[in-house]
Amino acid sequence: MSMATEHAEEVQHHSHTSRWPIWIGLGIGAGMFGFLFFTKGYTPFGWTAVLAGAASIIYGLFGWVRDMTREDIHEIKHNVKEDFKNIGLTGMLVFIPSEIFLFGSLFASYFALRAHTPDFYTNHGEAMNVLASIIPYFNTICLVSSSFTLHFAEHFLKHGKQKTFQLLLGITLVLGFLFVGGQAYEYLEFIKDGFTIKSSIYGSIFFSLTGLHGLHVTGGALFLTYIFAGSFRSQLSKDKHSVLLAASVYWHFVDVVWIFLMMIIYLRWI
Amino acid sequence: MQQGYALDNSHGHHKLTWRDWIFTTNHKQIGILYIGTAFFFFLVGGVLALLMRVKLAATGTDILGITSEKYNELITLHGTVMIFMWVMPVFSGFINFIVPLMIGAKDMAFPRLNALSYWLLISGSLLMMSGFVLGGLPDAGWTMYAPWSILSPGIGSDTWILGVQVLGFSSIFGGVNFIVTILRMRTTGMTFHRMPLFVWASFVTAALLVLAIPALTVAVFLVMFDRHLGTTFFSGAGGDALLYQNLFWFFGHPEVYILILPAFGIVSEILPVFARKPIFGYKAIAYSSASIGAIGFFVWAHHMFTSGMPASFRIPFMVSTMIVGVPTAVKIFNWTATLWRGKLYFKAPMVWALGFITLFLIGGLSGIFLASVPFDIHVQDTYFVVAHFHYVLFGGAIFGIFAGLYFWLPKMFGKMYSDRMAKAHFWLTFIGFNMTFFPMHQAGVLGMARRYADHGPEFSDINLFMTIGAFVMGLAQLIFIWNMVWMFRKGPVAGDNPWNSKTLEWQLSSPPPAENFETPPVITEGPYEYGLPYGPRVAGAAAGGGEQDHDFDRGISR
Repeated sequence: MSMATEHAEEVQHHSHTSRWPIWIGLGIGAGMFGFLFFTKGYTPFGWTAVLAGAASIIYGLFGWVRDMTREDIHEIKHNVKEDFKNIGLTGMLVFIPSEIFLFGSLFASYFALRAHTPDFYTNHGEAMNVLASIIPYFNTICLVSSSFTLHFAEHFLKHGKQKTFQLLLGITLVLGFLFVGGQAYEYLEFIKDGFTIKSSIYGSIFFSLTGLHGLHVTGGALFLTYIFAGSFRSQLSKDKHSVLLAASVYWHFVDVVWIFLMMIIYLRWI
Repeated sequence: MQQGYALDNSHGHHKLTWRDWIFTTNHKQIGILYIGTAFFFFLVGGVLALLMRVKLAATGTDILGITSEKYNELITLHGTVMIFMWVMPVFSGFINFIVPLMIGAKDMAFPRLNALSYWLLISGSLLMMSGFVLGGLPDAGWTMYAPWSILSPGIGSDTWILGVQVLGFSSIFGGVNFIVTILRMRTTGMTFHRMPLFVWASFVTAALLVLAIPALTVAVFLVMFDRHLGTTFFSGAGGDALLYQNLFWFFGHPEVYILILPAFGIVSEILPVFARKPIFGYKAIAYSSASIGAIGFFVWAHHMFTSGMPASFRIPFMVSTMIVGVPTAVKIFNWTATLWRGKLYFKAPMVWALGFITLFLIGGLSGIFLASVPFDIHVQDTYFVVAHFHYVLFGGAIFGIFAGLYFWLPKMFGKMYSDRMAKAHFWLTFIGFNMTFFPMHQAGVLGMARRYADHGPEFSDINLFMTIGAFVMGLAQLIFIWNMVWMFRKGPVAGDNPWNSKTLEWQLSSPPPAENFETPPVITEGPYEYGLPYGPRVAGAAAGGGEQDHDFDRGISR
């Protein structure tokens, strides 16, 4: 990196500006407006707004991530001490209670609906066979073992074993995406058997809960992908891996939610 | 990530361009953007309220073309705009501007995320207002109760759902940011027990934002599914409308503390400054905020006493609701004790803060009435409830907001408004407020139902009176606007510390420099050591504590 670009970066910090938040913030709004246009029947407007919104979000996210990467590289190169150690991890630890209340509300809805629906579990025909199939067990194994591989990846990074760290992080990613694939396959099987979000109350809450969880796994996997990519540009070192700690706490959390999902929704132990 | 840069503090103030504003990540600019945006929506929500009052001034006519259907849209948007687009964002603005200064930080913990929160507020607000353009405004009340929110035709409910969802994300990100800022960015010596009480209140508010909003997220997502994916969560075969109410109020009750706790914080800042006394019962006020926040998660079903919930649930919820009165009363007593034998200066912030205490006390007491199941069953969905929540949300939150604005505007812009106009604003608002909302207690007990577009002839006179009061209140806000115009055009320089206050934000220039503190301040004592012969509490800072009472008059600007 030349001196000139470095200087430009610093100037940007001094003026306290970032171009990216407005792109993401208004992009989300534009995408939502797309949905409104669809419900209103303005289909071409709808597509325009959704695509423009998505493009805007992606543009903003890439810029944001690029800036973060540059700052990380700058900090590592100049050996800058972090003012607030692991502040990203603190942010994640504050955010996770919010997620607990999110899933908690949906689980509570599940129990409330189950309590006053007499034929809650019955009347799903063939679908129950899939529910009892091997797929959820496969998914469980993928996700639970990915928590372990990630934990050990972190461990090796702390001990400066960069290659082992990358290998384990890569395996974690593969397991994460296998889970997402497994769930997609399971959904297709359900739909084939006529078990959908509107086939019954059970179907409604089943797809809402597992879908919300699946979105979280996908988000977590993308987060880890960003870190994996960054590990090749030496953004992480044994002294500086706050972002990995944050991602890993999130990943373990998503894993724990899955264990509850498995026990409550699939195995019906509770 | 930004903290690692060696920062140059010497550049001071430069004229901000429009690019600086829309791309800003500085907590002070974002705070001002929040407050400005919110104030715009206060005016929108106020006009909606005046239209409602016009409709209710007479019976049996569609005056100004306000049909019963239009009236439903008015009540829905009025409530939504005032709660989600005025009180919540204006407090986010205060927290943004003030908290990093008060704790001696350079900025928020996540400046870019902070900017994102603001732009999500804009997106959410545009979605919420989009019905005016797209045709089809929400009409199921600010609570969006099922099944009408699901059955209501048109896109009104959809605009509300998507809007509130985006506003919710904005608030959750904001809440996380505030908490991490307070947890991690405090300067040396700024222990939890030396934090100003506004910081305490902000911390609890942020915790409520983070924990309560997810329930709303879930509730409105499921309404969305019911509307568009053919599910039957809340309506139709097997649907459970009560589940919606439970989810909504699990969010909705902590929400009302989100709307009032920052005002408690503001008043706790203002009283010691203008009474020239240390705050009475610092820890009691701090911990009562925390306990109000905690108890707030166990009272939600008191909104549903008449919903057909099992009778055995009513008593525990009645008891837990009444318990909230204890920490709230602790605050009121402590504020009164702070005033006791103080040297009171009746400047605009103080006058508004005293108005706050008066009106909030009335609202708090009618809240105790409403917690009682037998009384609540009698007045459920009557104007008594409307009176109660306007006394706490207007008399409480909004009086607190104006107290805070008059207190900190000189810090934000470095200019002073007219104290006379600010007091005229106060008295007209206070009189108009009581004319509008006090008779609602009576109308409610006599059985006038809320949310109806019309009323029986026996309520004609009282409603006309209330409408006149509402217009007095509306007029009063024009004085505020004029005062602001005057301040920006001709207002005198406010000075760095016009109130001779001891909290950290006043030890900086007005407006504060971009990087706040050149060197992080070191804190050696609590924030409210007024009238005591203590040395400066900021080690090494020239301005600040230490002055005796009589210096206050000299320091004040007129």
